Amino acid sequence: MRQKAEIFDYVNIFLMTIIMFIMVYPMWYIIVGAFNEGADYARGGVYFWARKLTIENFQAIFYQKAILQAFWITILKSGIGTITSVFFTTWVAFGITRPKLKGKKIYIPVIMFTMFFSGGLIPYFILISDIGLYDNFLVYIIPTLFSVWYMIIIQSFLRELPEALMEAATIDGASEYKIFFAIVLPLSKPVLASITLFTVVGHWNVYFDSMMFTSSQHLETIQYYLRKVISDPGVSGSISNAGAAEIPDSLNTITPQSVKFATMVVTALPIIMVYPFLQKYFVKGLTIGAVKG
Amino acid sequence: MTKKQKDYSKLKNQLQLQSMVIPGIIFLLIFAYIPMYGLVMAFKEYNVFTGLSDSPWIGFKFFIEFFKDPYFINVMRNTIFLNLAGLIIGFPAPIILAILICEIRSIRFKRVVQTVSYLPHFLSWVIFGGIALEMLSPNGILSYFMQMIGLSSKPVNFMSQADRFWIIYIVIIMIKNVGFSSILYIAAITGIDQQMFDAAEIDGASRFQKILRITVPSIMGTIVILLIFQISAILNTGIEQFLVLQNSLNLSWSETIDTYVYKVGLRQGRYSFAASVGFFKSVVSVILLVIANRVSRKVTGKGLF
Amino acid sequence: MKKRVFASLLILVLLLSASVGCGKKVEESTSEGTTGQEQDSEATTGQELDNEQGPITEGPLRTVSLDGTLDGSLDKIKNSSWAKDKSPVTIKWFVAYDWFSKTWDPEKNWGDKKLLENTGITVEVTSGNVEKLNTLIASGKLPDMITYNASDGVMKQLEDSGMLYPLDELKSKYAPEMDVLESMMSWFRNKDGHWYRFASYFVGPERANPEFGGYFNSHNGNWVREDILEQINMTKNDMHTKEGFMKALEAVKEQKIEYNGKAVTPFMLDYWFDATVERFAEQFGVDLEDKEGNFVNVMRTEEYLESLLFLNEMYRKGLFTDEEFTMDKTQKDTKIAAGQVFAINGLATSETGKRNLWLSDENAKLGYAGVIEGGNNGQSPIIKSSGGGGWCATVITKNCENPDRAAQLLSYLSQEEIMLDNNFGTGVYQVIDGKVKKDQEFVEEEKENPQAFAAKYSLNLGLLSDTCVRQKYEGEPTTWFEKDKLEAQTKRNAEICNSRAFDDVNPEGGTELAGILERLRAHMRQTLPIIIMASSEKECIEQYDVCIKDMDKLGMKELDIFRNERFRENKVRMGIEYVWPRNQ
Repeated sequence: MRQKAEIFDYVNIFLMTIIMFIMVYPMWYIIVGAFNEGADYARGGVYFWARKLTIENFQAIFYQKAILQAFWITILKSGIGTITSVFFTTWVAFGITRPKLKGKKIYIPVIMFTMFFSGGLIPYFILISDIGLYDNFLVYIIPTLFSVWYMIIIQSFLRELPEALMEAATIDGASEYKIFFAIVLPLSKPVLASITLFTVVGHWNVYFDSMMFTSSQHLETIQYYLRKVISDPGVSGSISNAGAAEIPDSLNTITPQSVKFATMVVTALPIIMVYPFLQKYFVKGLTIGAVKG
Repeated sequence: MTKKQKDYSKLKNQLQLQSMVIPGIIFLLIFAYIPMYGLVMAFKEYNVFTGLSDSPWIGFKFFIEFFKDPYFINVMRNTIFLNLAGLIIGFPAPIILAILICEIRSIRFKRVVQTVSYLPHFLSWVIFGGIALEMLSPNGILSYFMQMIGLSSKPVNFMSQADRFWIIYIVIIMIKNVGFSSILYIAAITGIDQQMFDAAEIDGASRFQKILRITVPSIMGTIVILLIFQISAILNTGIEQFLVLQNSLNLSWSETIDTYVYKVGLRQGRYSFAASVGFFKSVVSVILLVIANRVSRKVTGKGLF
Repeated sequence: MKKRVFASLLILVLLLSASVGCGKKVEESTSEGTTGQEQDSEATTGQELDNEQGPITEGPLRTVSLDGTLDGSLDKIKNSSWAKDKSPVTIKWFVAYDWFSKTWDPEKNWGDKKLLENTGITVEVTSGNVEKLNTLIASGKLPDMITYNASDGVMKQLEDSGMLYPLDELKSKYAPEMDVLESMMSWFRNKDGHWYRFASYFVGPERANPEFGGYFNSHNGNWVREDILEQINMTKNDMHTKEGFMKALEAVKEQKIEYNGKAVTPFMLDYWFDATVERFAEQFGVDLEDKEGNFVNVMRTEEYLESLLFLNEMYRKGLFTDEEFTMDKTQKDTKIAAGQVFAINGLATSETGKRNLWLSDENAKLGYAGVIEGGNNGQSPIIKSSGGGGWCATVITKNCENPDRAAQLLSYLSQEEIMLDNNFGTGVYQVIDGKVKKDQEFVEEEKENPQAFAAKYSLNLGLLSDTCVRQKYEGEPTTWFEKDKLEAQTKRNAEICNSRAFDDVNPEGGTELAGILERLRAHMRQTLPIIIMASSEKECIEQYDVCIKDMDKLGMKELDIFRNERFRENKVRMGIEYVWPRNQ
């Protein structure tokens, strides 16, 4: 059913091109900055192309072996954490969406309350260490197993599915588990894909859990590791000037800013790559009728 | 099926459903409710050395301190104003973007636009904000542009105009997040039954009719839920982006509850003060959530539960 | 198609960066392999030869001073405590700065290897922010050692709570050779009579004197572009008066001086512009301690207003614009590095930009020009030193199972030789005639790849460092900007006052006064630009009066009383009656 292009299409393409330029530019700017010599970059005026091309900023990041371990931990954590969390959250979301569920009147307030009130970091930390998760790889997985916010989003999606579909299955004698696995999961691909994306991106980008809940080097995540690499006491301004003045001078042309850019490139690229893989679930539309049989 | 069988299968199904929900509840009991005792911090003079149980009760002292603060009205105004502006301008943006992306015919182009539009989300605020500051400075590209098309005769310092801070703020936030936020809507649109579009096609519906009659109503559930939550979060702004965009000249319009509490409370180790303000914000959020949910139920027939 | 190109581009970049990293590593590890073997053999012989058998000439354990001119070298210490028990033990050390990073790697890193050989201790450093420190305290999960701001309230509370070992006791019991200044011990002595905190960057009179070779640092000074100064036919000396300073700035504006085709801004304010106002007040001869020995709030002085008026005059003459209040630190550094600034105030502002500018153009020197020698009151300027009261402090907690070993670790790190290792790299230098000389091969190696050099030779545990030690042994500066930095600290045209009594006057975190302090800061940040950008002198004064009144309403008076009490206590701790040179 190919149609002729309308004016609308041209306007749309034009608009999207502009938007794309705006969205690409910051990333491009950083890539250029990462490949430009730091001291030269610091003089300003580098906008579209590198003025003094170099890879020393990347060398600065990769000079230590520990970074590979950090990458590995982050991949493990993001992989396992995402699969378990998306599954478990969907599992609960399905249960809570079903009209037949008894006890909803209690469950929903109990769940919602946690979205607005929390005891704060200190009691949470004490809990984590009391149940033995402190400085344990599982601290990356277990506490993030269930997300109320994503549950609500999945729930909103599940509610849009035609109830008749599930009714029919129930009459056929299908159990709730079967409905979940055979009907709901296949139909929820788009929303699951987006929740997967959000979760994996969230896992990848966070440094706080590593900083707060671990104390061993081998559990450091890449974000936390790189946060330290780009450490720049002079700029953070939080320390007294006495410390900052001690940074020894050398003829080093690498600057904190340029290393920051390279860091950004190294950490962002792998996770950006995830999207295209999930994208196929967004591009094609689903036909619910077809799945039924 | 006999009645007995039916009852049995009903019970079995109910048990299965419970087995899905109860683990989630247990999870929350452990990870959310056990630490909840920390809430009393708002009513105590807490100190990490004495511990929570030994800290003295002080009632609403810190609530009163916050309400009586000379900057209270100012930060309240800024917070609500920035969030309202964000709601009116920022909220529809990802919806429109999602619809426009889905209207693109070429699948390749569609994919490229999608991928590209979410790139800025991956840049940290320090770096993204830094780029924005450079573009908005008097020798930046925007100032240059303004001079070129004759809107200004001398270099413009955008960051010094306090009363226009909200425009800069919203535009920057939008560029950073619009693509990422639109993913959810794109997913929702993708979830629409393709047969509906085909049927409308046969009926000779135009593009706009299809968007208005099929797409928008079909993703209404998602829209409503996100909207309700955004309304309930009207007192939250976060801190990170402000640490980059705030400066002395725009502070009168850029200081929000979160940034102020961060400075006067947390950064000074005043946990109880921060907890009090947090408690106040949570209560407001819950009230707004309930109201927004009711209104939405009346108007659109959709709501949270 | 487009997408695929884009994706493959991204992949290319990633692979490139990854392969660069890997390539580097291979290189390193191969070179490591050979030197590592050498080291091992040396290490074993080194141990056998413990009771002197000729010096070791290379490797991590090399003798750093063959002629014996390094007073605090390890070989000079007989029966060092850390060498008595070398059984393996791990010390967990938490540093409450989330930017701090120390990877323990005794196989590769010479500093770690040396530490392990000498003491048998493995150091496991974790870093985090003060929030983590607080949660560690609240949950009782304290590690063996902690480092955080020396004068922070948390440190005081830690001492008072009984969670720490008194260092003075540990020192006399287990580590008598710990190299710590008497003045530091008395400055940080707790009410219970014990000393707990080992502070870094503490400037004590024992070392900050010509005899030892250390000196006080100060960030107060003005820096100007020497090349532009020549263009406008003026000298640095001309800029030592208010009128001359202003004249030079005006000349730059009037003569439309350009650099690289871009206009040069005559003056730049510090990123912390309130610091600029205070520094000029000091340059105009303000007294920060009154005749009775009380604390003076600089904001209330005439010289502070004079300084505001001085800046206001500059603003009205167009010598700087409102951009000064909207640029962040990076933008300011960039502007200096691009050569678009003529004069600035403050050391920290100048460092980065100045260096990058000079690296690209040897003639474009942003050099130290001294201070303005007094203002309306006719008094000569006295400037405060920076950070004399120490930056961070390290403590040993009662959770530590081996307090003896922890104390010995501190003792080891406190030795002059180890401090120099921290500054220059382990095993890469010799102290000859009392000055550090880096071997040429290592200088080359550092130039080649500074990061790899740091990873291999830098101990990076400078958490006990004393600047004076470096100052004493540092050789002549080799580059212009090192020389300029040294000049700014040793050839200034103003008297300097030890700032220690002033540094530690603010209320402790968690208290109500701390909240007031933060409110005052927020108010000041908003109001100072309005005062500085006032349209006339009269308006400037009026705005200033309003500002002081507002701040009094916010609680500045109570804060002043508190600060004065603290200030007086501090002087008692230092054992002096007056701290301000004019009162002494």
